[in-house]
Amino acid sequence: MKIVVLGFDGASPKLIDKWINNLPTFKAFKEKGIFGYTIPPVPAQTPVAWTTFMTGKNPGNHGIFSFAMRKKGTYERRIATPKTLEAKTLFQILNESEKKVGVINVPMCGIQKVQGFIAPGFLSKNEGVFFPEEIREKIRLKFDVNKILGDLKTETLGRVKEDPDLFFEEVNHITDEMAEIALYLLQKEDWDLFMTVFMGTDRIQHFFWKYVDQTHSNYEKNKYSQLVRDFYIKMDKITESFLNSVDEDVITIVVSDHGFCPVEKEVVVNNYLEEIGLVKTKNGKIDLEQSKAVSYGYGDVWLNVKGREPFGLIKPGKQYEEVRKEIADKLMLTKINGQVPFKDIWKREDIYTGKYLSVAPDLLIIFKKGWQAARNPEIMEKNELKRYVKKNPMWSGGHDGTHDPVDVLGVICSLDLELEEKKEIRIPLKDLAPTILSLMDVAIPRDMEGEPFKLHFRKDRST
Amino acid sequence: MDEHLQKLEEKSIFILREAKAEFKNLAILWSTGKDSTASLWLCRKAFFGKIPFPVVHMDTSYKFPEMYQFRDGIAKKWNLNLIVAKNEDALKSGMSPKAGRFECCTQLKTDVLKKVIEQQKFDAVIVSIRRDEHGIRGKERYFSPRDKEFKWDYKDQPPEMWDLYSSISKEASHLRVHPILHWTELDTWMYVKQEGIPVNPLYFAKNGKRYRSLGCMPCTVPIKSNAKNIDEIVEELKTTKISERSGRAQDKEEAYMMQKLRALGYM
Ligand SMILES: [Zn+2]
Repeated sequence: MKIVVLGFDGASPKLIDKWINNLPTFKAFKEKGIFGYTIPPVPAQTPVAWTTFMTGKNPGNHGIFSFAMRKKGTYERRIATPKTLEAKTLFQILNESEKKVGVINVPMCGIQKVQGFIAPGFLSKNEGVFFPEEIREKIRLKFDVNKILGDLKTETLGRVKEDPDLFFEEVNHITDEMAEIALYLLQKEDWDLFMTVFMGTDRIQHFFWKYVDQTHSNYEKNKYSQLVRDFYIKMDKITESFLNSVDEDVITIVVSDHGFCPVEKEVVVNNYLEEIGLVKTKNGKIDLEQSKAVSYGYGDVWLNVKGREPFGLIKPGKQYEEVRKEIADKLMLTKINGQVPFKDIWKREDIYTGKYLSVAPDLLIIFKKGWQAARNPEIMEKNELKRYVKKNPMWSGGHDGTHDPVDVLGVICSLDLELEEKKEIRIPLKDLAPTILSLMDVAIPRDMEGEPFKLHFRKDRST
Repeated sequence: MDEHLQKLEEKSIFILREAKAEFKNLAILWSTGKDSTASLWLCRKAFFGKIPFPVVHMDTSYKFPEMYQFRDGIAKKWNLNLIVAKNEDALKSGMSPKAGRFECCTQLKTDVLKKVIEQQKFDAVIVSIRRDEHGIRGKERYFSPRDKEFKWDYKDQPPEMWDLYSSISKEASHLRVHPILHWTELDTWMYVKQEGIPVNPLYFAKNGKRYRSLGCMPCTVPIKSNAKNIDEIVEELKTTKISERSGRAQDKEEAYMMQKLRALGYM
């Protein structure tokens, strides 16, 4: 069986529901096919989520725990890139089974050895460039471009507050262009699995969520509410074109890696850790050698352990456990203007398993809806009333700061699949790779953790 | 001597002596940067003052003028058997970073290294990479790329293996030896300070900027810094703000990615 996976980064099932009468293709998914939720990993960030999708493994076995992780044995922070991925992807597995793939703009997917073609996605230094060269040449001849623009320009993103209209103009343009190129390759090239991810949904929602979510405390309806809805209509149309461009025996699946929830306030976790005596400062900067625990800006907490970090302070074993318990107990009691921003605090071994567990953050702070961890982990000036709290952060919507996966579920839909038994679909992202392999009749590697979801091919789309 | 540094040094010297005993035709790569200069220092300690194998410097001719001065000074002072390798053909045909960073690095460095290894019949090459420059786990071994059974093993190499050394190891029949794999950037600086190892002045701040690593001129970006000597660099590395810890990009691609993540609000 051949498969098409159409990804819309961060596409929200809540917004699809809200505008369902303007989205005929998604309405058809609901009425005739399947329409359910994907459960993102913790944290529900784009690089972690798509890597989980691609590998069928939890972060403990693929090694991507966040946008930024602490380098082992140092206090340095490093960015997640395809180079840091520690597990085989769906595309590499298919290559070993002599299957052809066409992969366009999947985040965290770099150049890989495949039969077919790849244009790496977000976080790869080769973003948008087609491999092998023949495909690059074909695209150049046909569309007069050297690469696809899978994402907005940095300059446009940096000026979104001053020039939101330019932002929308550009996101619409790059989405149309990528759809056109993807549809061309879908029809002209030979493939067994074709996958492409559009980033626009995610980028738009981060900056414009408060114009579409009535539960946001700063909700406001204006022209941007319309522009976001129009983008969902575009997503519906692109999906329809894909469905119309493939043969009847092809299974098309639409999927998002996570959804969104409101972001209204953010706090610097290190301020809290300082308050409870674990972060120490020197000349206003965090002293990493003297601090027992620090956060690097995502609700992650890293302890300074003897023998593990260069200037470790905490003895492994009993003392390590005591400090973790102390952090969890004290933070859950710390109130700001009468509120606790945290929903829960998890130990790494409670959410991850596998060979890279030892490089995961020691604790993960889960935030309530509306709150998130400030991205800049530096201690903020203490201000009498709004202690540590920054109102109206850059974003009004988020999914990773770190939120509970159930607060930011993604979406999965198809007209070509049906369930073995009637029930609500909630499928963990790591189950999708084995599900796809089993639909393609390819053996699932033994070290893949996810389980194939019980779905069947549905022959007649029209009924 | 600092206990931590002493342990690092002992391990490195052990690896170097093992390598010398194991291979007939050993060589060491020297970029003139702090890490490979520290490795030369370790070699001098391991072999009682005189490095008993050739020191290879790959010259792209796009290096900083300060680097050449430094190189020739040290070579004389330490009485090195220096081999300077250049890709004259590629340089003549006009290869420069304008052709794209990857192309340039491939032709000017990778090919040169391949050639020099073939010509000189080196069976092992000492390379001064550190694990903290690489992945979270660090896929490199002290002796690589062969596994315990001395078979080639690339399967668990990173998917994008575009760096200089792994791209060669695919086909070459030599081994790479990594004596300072277990060191960090801070370790190197602390060791340089303790031992009084000479370093290239480009590492020290001028007009609020300094180089953190020294590559070819067009592909290396200076970072913001006021550290004017080794003490200040050590202090800077110890107290850098967390948010700057990945902002001090080692190359243009990383700098570009950081900028984008900041604009997106992810950093
Ligand atoms: Zn995403």
